[in-house]
Amino acid sequence: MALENRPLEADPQDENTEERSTVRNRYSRTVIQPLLITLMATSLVTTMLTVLQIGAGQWPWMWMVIPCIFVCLEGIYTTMWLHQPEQRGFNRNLYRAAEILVIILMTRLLTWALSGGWPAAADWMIYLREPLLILWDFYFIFSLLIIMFVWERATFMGYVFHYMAIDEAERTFYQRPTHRQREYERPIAPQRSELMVLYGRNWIWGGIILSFMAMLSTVEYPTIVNDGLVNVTRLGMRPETLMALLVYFGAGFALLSQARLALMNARWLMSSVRKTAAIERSWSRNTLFVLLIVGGIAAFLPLGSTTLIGRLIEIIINFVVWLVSFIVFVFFSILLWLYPAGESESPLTEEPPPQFAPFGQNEVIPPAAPGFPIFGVLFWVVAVVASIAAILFFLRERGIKINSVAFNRIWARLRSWWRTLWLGVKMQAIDWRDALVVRLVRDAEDEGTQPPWRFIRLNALNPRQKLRYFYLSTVRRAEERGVGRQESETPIEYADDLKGGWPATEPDVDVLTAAFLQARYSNREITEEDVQPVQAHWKHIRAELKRQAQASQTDEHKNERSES
Amino acid sequence: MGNFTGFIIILLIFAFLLRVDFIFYIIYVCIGVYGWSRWYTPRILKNLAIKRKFADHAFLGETIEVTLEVKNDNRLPVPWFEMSESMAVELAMGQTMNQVTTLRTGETATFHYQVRGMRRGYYRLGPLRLNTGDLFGLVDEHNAYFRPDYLTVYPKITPLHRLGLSSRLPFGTVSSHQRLFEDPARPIGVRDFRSGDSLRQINWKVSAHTRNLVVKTLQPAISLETAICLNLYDKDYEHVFRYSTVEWAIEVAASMAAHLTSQRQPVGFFTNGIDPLQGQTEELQFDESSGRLLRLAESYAPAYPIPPRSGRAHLMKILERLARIESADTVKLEQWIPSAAVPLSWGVTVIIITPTADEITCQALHQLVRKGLNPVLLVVRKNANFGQLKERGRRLGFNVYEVAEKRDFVTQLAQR
Repeated sequence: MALENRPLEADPQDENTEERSTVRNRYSRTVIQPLLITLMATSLVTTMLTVLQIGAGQWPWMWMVIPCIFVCLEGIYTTMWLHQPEQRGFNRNLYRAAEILVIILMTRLLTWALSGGWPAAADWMIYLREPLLILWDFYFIFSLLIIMFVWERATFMGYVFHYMAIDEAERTFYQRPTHRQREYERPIAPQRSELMVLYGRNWIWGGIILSFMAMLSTVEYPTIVNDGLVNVTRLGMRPETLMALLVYFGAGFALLSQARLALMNARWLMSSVRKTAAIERSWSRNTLFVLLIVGGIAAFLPLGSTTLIGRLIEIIINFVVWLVSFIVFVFFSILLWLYPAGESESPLTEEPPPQFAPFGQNEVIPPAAPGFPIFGVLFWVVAVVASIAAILFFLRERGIKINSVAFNRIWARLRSWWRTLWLGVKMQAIDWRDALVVRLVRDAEDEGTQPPWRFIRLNALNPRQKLRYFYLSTVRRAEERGVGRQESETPIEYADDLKGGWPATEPDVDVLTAAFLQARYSNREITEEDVQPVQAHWKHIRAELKRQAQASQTDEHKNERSES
Repeated sequence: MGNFTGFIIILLIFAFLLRVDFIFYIIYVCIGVYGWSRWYTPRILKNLAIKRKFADHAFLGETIEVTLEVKNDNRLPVPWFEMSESMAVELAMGQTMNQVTTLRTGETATFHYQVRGMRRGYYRLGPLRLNTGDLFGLVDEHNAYFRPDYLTVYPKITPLHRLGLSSRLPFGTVSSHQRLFEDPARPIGVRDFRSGDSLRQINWKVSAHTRNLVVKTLQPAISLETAICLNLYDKDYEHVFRYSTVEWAIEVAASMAAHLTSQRQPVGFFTNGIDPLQGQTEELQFDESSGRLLRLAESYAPAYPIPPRSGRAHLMKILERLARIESADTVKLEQWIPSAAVPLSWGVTVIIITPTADEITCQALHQLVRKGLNPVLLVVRKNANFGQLKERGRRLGFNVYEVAEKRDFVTQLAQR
């Protein structure tokens, strides 16, 4: 194998192209580093989410990993975009504020969607009066905290790696021939080695937090209440925690290597060292190679706590912890002995601990205060306007603009559709009005001669409704025959009136009244078999009432004829 | 990286305190990466085989291509290493040899760069500074140097088709065919016996061995040799034009030597200047600005003489000396020339190249004439009293020429 390099004889244009591509480090900057930062930040919060899942498992915490990934990528690419030379005059803080507002809105919607707790219409009325209640949600608050934490981590790392990379001004200046490099044009180089140390510190502290969280995820919390901290039961580590630990440290090492590459790139550029393109290509490969080799070997090593030296160290550490505890105990004991509690003070009485409802559960939304909610309306107006402005600002500056032509076209179509609908409704209303007038006139004409007509399809009713219909239609017919039901009368009392009016229907009325009471006040299931006998009794009563009515009419006609 | 060590210790405490065994795996990986960096980085440069290939002698104005071959003899790939070749300013063509690359196992990287000999001298190429480190920045970088090589740039040579210096004695191979004064102390070979050869000339041992009569061939006793004496005594050169006049004097000497060698005449070289390489036993010191070899501060001894010999290899030796030689405050010409002429045979033409010559110098040259040598004085600087000097030389028995510039050199010498 031979690597042939003719740096002083190659075509200058080709050289420049290669030089630029390696100096700009485009692939590492735009793909590798964002992905690694995302992996690291997400794995850091994954352990937190695992702990939350164990502690408050009624919410789907682990689903928050997905939005965390998106928020990380968004934060990093926004950082890169904001630091492009074209955005130099741009108000970055304002844009960041809009970005945060959009993230908060998205988180609110996401938590509603994931928890399935979309607010009802009544809740919106309450939120209108008390706007801050919309934020008072355990799942939302912790989700937002986690998302903002991961966003801050990703953005911070994005800043660090942005400043470590070679920027356009440095590239332009140092790639000029030496005689054309004006000293007053020399760009101020960032302290890259300090940035690398800063990254290292953040990574290390993140690792410590992660380890602590990993430990917390192994604790069985109910045993803390029962057995205390000392005898707490430990569970095995969850697969997602193991994965998060591996990913965090793997990605951390890879990022450390990337930081080193950025540092070296800047040094090589400033000292006019020519770099072969193979460096960029092989750097990530060599890093992966080292990590896999070391990780593979480490997998075969015994765990530290099982080795003799491990036990020895454990004993030493435990002894040191015990010693520190003992010193603290002695110190406070001496303090208490020197400054005993005053006798005049009233003895402490044990009060029963206050009973709090678990946070986030059965939240009681306070009833809405009467009156017009001016503050709430103002708040929401401001919030909605600010949100829309933030979304538009956030999207517009990234090149996503609302197409006004399409918007106007849609708006014109909506107006046309609305006008047509309105005309249709208007015409329909006119038709209905005319029909109603005609009907009213006809009804007025027919009033007194025809009973009010109402069509009920008996087969469409369920058994319970059928029983009620039988009874109520009987009551209506009886009222028409002059045996009306008083408002204060119970069905059983009214049954006596019916029996008095139509003695022939006495058993039928009892059966019908009992069936009605069952249908109206009982939750017992009523079937068609129950309906059939009652229907027979109802028909008998109806026939009896009709017969009596016809008989009375015949009598009236006879009397009229005799009188005439 | 103290932070990293502290981190491992904190993780270790966490692992024991919190009783999370998996953290041990993380600790192993961290220690492994750290250990790898500490172990492998110092070994990278030790197993790089480097070669520098170039022509170590060049004529003035010639472009020399230097090839650097770096082979990775490690069993593992080299993540990166930086090379920086030190290059003399006088040689650099406005380019530097700073390169960083990576090498797979057994891979060889070849780099080329060019230098140009813009001024005569003895230059150093290198050393090649090598620098490497790990991929994570956990350990310090390591440096190493690859030995330098040396390049000699000969002085400028002006070709002369014919050098017609008049002489009382045979000068040059053309007029030396007659073997009147063969010296038996200077045998140069044997040949077959011919009728008329003296029996004294027979080489009996060789004849017995070859069973054929052969006779010795002897070098002519009347020397056809030429000795070039270059006066580089500092104070003889006018301060303002010292650099250019010295260089011109050296160019004249080199051209004379090259021409005489091309005429197959033995040429020797004597100078009262200083060869910086002479007597250097320790590491050579080079001028940072020009890249030329520096002479020892306490050295004021003239360079060793090169006795007259013929042949191209001998010319290269003279040219190498001329490439390195420098003017110095050593010995005055009139004091040095008698001692320098002691080893010369009778009849040798002595070409003295000097910026100026006064009466004392002429008297010293006259002593050479009286010793049987044939001095020729070449004055390499314009002299208002050149006519007087020439007349004095004629009276004292030697010729004087003024070669103050290239035009004079070519016209005055070549046309005679």
